[in-house]
Amino acid sequence: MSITLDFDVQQLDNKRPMHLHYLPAKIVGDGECTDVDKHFNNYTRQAPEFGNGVLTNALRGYPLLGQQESVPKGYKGLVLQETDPNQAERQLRLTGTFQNFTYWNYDKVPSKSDGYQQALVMLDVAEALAEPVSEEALEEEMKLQKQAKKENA
Amino acid sequence: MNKKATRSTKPKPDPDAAPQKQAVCAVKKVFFIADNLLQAEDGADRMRLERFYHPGKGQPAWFITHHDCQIMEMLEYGEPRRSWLLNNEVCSNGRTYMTTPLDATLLALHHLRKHCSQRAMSLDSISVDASDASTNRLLTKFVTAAGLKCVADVKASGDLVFYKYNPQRTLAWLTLKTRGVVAVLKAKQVHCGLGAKSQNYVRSEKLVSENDVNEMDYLRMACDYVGRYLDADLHEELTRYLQIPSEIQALVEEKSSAQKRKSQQGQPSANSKKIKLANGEDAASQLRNSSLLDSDDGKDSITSPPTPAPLKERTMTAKEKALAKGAKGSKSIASFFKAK
Amino acid sequence: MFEARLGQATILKKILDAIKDLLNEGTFDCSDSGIQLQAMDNSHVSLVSLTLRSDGFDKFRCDRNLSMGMNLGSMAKILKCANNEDNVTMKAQDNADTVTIMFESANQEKVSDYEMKLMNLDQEHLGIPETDYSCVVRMPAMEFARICRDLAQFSESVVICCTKEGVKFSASGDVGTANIKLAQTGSVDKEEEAVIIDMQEPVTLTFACRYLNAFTKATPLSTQVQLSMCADVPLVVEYAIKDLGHIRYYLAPKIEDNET
Repeated sequence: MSITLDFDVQQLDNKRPMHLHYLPAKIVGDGECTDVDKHFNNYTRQAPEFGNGVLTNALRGYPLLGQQESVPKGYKGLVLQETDPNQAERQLRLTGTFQNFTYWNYDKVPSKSDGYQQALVMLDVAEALAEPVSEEALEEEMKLQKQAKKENA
Repeated sequence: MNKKATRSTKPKPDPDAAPQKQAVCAVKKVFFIADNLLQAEDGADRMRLERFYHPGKGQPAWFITHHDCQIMEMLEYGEPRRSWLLNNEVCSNGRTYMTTPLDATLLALHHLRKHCSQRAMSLDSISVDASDASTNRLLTKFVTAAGLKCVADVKASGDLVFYKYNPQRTLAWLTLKTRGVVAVLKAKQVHCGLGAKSQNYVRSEKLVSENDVNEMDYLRMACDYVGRYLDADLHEELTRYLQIPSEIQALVEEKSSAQKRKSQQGQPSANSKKIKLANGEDAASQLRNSSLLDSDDGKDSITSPPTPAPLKERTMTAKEKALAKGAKGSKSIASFFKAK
Repeated sequence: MFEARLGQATILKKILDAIKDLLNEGTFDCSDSGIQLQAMDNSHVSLVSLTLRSDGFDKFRCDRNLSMGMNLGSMAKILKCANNEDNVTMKAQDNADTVTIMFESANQEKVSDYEMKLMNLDQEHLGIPETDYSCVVRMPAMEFARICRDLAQFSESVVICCTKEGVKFSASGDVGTANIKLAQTGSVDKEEEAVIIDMQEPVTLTFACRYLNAFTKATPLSTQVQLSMCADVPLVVEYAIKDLGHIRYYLAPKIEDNET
């Protein structure tokens, strides 16, 4: 079973980038909501009292604190949509791309202790784990292994 | 009204609801895809999401592949109560799907250990009994010869190549990988100790030198991270090979070193090396005395005396002490159940 | 004589791992209905009850009721000598003072046998009365293990509070407080990921965290765990062992502050 990412990579930069907000709320529903610019973006304010680059807004009366985030270096942000999950040959089509988005927390200044920030560390850890090991380093380590065994015997 | 969000629900369409117009409501997902998967050489070739057996999870997991040679892991980052706003649409799926680099050799390890431990086999014959084509596809397309060489003995006979799993080589290879992870954890200043530490506070210079950044904590976390890709028993083997004491042992060690630090307060940092050595000895002898290590000498024979030594006469192991401590304040279970 | 054979040593390994941290030794009571083990831990705060039905074994024979006292640490060491896929056979003669444990590799080319001395353990059997539990929670075993592990960082005690809203696990200590709430899952793809709460009456009880973490060593045995609670009655943490039986851990609640 496989899912094809059915879009032409060369088309990626053709569309205008999408505007994304990462909201600290569980919204039960998908699809068009409203004019986000008019009813949400219009109310975004800079809040230097919380720190450099911190923004404020509100959702249904709940205070939001946010900041502009970039997609991690070496990555592209893509929004993909499944055509029909019941198909045998599943396909994901490209809805749009983005390089930045606004990260929002519920009433908490965005900081390094946010789960999302800590998750990004995993990208670097995964890279370190995927680093190939050279033949020489491996032989060296095995020699040390043998020596240690002899010493302990 | 808002539904209560639970850990494992995805919003499912109500089967009795009137059919919704499908147009914009198909579920969207937000992805971070690595640039090197997006190099357009051949416009017709598409990236695919495929399932391969994931040794750490014990079941197939999703991976992203391209050009029948590139493979990356598909990680799903999710927090409770998150959604995306995409231009003028809401997206209930608040997760972020990220492609992360992966050494496919880690996936191959499971199959090598399972089939090639006793004798050398070719890649095609390993996957002969597999339930689907994914094993063969993984081994022939995405695992590299260089990678296999690190964990197996390679024998060539004419055109055919045979591989036999080599446990010592694998442990050495995993050790080098683990050290790479330790380096990154240190560079990123990831807190690996046993307590919780906020990332928001700036640590003073003085404290940094006193709280000897515990090498073993980094090693343990790195080993556990590598272990997420390994069969459970191989992870245990690696933990033992790297001589990582269990967390209870570390707790006991930390307590004894904290007491030592208190008494050494005010002394110049030149003594810090001595303190570390003293800790090291304590840890080693404690480890030996506890029953956590398998003793290699035959003195600790498997046959046990007919009657067990009463607890008061034996010294308790760290585990037993910890459990006994946990028992304080609980009622006695014998008071609930009467002897038959 | 007594003889029991299991197709996969891994199950027995997992069972031993699940009990050896709590119990140093235990008596395996063998009868023609199967193997039972019941023992309290050293502090008499918890009780482990293991039941393995005879029909779950590949081969089971027990001529006379037999009680075998064993050092569980030693037994775990012996089981470490087996590969997960090996056949394991336990054999003992009537009135013998040793038990033989044999492993056969899957291709039957390697056969190992180990003989272990049995112990004289005088352990009384406790009668566990039938109890109507006020709250029964079924949840993924990994989830429960995760919760116990996380909360142990905050306190020695965990408060489990079950109301119609769901089940809440709390811990508070010097570091701060932690609360983990689980509600009944609406609909899930896989049954083993579901959280099912059967509540007759709300219950709040406090338990020792370390013991809960000792119980979660049984997580490899089952995808789901069942917690049963009732006021002033020990908690039951039950892991089903597929096709074979179950392991039940009973844990006495902590003494409340207003009690003597």
